[in-house]
Amino acid sequence: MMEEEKGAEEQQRFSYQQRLKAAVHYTVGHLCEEVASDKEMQFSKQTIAAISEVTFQQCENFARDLEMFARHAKRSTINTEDVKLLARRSNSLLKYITEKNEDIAKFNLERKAKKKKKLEDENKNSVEPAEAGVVESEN
Amino acid sequence: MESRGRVAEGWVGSLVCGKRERVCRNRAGELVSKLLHLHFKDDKTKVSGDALQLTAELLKIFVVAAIRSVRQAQAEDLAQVDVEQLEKVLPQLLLDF
Repeated sequence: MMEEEKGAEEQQRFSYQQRLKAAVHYTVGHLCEEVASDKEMQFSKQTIAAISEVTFQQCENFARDLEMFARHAKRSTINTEDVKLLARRSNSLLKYITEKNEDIAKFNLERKAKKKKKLEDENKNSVEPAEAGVVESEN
Repeated sequence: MESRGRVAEGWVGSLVCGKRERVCRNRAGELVSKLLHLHFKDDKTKVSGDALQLTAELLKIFVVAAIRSVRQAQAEDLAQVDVEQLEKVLPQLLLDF
């Protein structure tokens, strides 16, 4: 019975992995199309498949490394410093990623500020009538 | 079938069109998040939102680098890019990463 369960679990993991691979393949195919339409050139199916296979493999490397970096820093949550370490091998890559990180951080900060302001505005609107009442009674 | 399309679409949306990036940011993270969690050894490992976005960027560069280097490897006027070209550039690509 146990053997069967284990087999079924492995089957599930395998088919889940296949679905993810397919999603990666779909995305890589789209990117290839974009590039190809620019230069009037086509990518063979094997090439697209090869690139997406390599990408999927690279994800595994990234995931393992990221997990180890965070663990090395005694954390269980991977942060952007860990991701930057992934890009350490090429100076131009590291520079690009560092800049992207600053863009992302800035954008998220702006978004939070907007949300906060929106909440504050909404609170003000609901509080105003009550305030008017208070002022009157004070007078 | 359907959910795969949506998730992939999210990543594509974020990578392909700069404008849609802001809208699809959550969906972009989905595929990358699933890909990472598939290979984590520890159940407790998590990824911060910013780190997820940054990893998506890194993956995008990887794919675009692969595509571009295959294109550059075309010495002749080939109408199709074959696996041979990819094999030529793969070692260098992996070294950079």
